[in-house]
Amino acid sequence: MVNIIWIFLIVSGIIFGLFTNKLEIINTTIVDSTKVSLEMFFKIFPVLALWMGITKIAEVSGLLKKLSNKLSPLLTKIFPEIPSGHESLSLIASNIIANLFGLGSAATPFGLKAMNSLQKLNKNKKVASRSMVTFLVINTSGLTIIPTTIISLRMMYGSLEPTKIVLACLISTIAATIGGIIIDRILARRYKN
Amino acid sequence: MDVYDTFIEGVKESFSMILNLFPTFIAMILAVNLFINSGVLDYVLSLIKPILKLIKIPGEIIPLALVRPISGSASLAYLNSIFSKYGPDSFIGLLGSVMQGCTDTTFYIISLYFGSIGIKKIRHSMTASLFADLVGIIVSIIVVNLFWG
Repeated sequence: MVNIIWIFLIVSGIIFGLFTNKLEIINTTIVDSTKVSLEMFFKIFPVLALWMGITKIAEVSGLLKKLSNKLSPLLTKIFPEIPSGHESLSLIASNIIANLFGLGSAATPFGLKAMNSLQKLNKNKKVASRSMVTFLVINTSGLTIIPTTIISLRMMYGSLEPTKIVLACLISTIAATIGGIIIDRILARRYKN
Repeated sequence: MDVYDTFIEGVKESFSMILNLFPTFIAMILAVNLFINSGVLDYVLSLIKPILKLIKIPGEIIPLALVRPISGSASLAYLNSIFSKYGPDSFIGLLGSVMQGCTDTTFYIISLYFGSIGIKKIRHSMTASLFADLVGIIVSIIVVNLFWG
């Protein structure tokens, strides 16, 4: 799927550019993309490195275990394939909690570690497991209580009530997450058959 | 527990992780930028606009909704322009805020998370995630209309 989308984005871009005489824009885009990627690399790497250090402390100190114990009744329902007490559950719990409080930069390392840990349970290493898909869907639906980026952007533009949108966001994101989990359930069953 | 050593060890783990991610960054940014800069996106938008106008969705919000799953920075740029044109507390500014805030960048997260562990077949991840985005967008339009419409 990623393969198809990738080819589609590139081929449609190049063909459309050719027909509309934007060859130069395509050229500069190709060259610039590598530069932008490197900038992104430098932007993400230090933050990731820092948070990986902090999350390791949270992990070794047992803080993660405590957090996940609180969430585990819910998580075992959402992720029936993960054996209870497995490390991936506490990583998933930490990822969800960091996201809930709008700490995107802390959520990513937990999320990546959770995927790594789910991969250990996975039988076919090239194919996503059911738990991976569910975890992905929860992440892409952006479940959060405090949408920090939006609030700060609203402040930047002089909003009188930057946090006015919090409840509306919460309702929409909960709907998106539940919708995602339901369709994931349905499609996972169909995939199995 | 040796807090210092634990911290160092955690930071060390980030090296292999980020090296796995870099190829994904290049591939993703290249494809998304080609798609946006070549004008394909604008063309598709111009085709859809009249249809959505019929169901009373402001035209400026459509690029935001369509780009949101593909590129976080591009959709933030759209939101920026909406804010500077109409203000963050206008109806369209509020709708844009909620739309941007209620979902995450699906394409980015899928390539990031699956790329880091070498998954090739992502099964129904994309379909389910895009469906979640669609639900988020529809519900945000309803909620914003109920609250401030």
